Amino acid sequence: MSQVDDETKRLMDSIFIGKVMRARQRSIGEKLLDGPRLFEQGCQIMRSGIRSQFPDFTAEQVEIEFRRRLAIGRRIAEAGIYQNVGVLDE
Amino acid sequence: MNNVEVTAAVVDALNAEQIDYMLVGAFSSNAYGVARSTHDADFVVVVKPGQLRALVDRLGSDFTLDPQIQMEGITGSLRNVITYIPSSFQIDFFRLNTKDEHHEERFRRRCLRPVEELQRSAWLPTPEDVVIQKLRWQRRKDLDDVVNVLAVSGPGMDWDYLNAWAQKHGTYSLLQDLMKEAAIVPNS
Repeated sequence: MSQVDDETKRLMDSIFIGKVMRARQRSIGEKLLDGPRLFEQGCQIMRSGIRSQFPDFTAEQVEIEFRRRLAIGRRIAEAGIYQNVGVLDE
Repeated sequence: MNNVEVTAAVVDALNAEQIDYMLVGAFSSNAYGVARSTHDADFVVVVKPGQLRALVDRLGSDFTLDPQIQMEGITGSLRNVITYIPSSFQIDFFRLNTKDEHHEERFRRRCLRPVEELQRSAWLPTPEDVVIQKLRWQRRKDLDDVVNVLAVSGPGMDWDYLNAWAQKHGTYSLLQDLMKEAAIVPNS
């Protein structure tokens, strides 16, 4: 793990404390929905990044690349955790 | 539908199908901690045969059920995935694992919380149970979530309950380390 100098550590701590203090001011119900909201913002940024990287892409190509990247992220997040054990037969 | 509306639609469908549930994963750690993005909504459910398909039918043709059943290797819970096709938002349904003592206890202690924006309530685990479960998973994001939940909600938590389960699961030492990280935030 990299070493962090004292000034950077103080800054990191200060940012963390600020985030926690703000979180304490908000209700459980408000924060519950932040996850999908932030995900949508992240998706917009990802699509924008793809358009910037591939200016000739059509909207459809952007969407295909976006979903490909999303799938990679999911595979990384779930690597080694799940194994297939059967199929719903209901 | 945006992903918040998707989540609300799933909660409504669960209620309509009379499926007992609770929202876990990042939704629950966000509720008690500091919010982060999540690409899925994780539910623990108690389902009878046929109920998952009925749920997807109720949700409509924008939702698709992957019939593949997966077992997660940490606590042995079984999962089915439903995807909201327009946005690729994923809804994971974990069957209540009755072979896992803490899973049962966590479900028994779940509480109904109001979600003002949706004008609904949703069942959530308690903050103690969020921490206990994430200590077992121990992915980087889980440990960050634990620090955040401890820092935001720690002062009001049932520490005897939390410590007892952490000792039982062999995660007590890890909990102590993460408490030190959270402790830089004043309680008031």
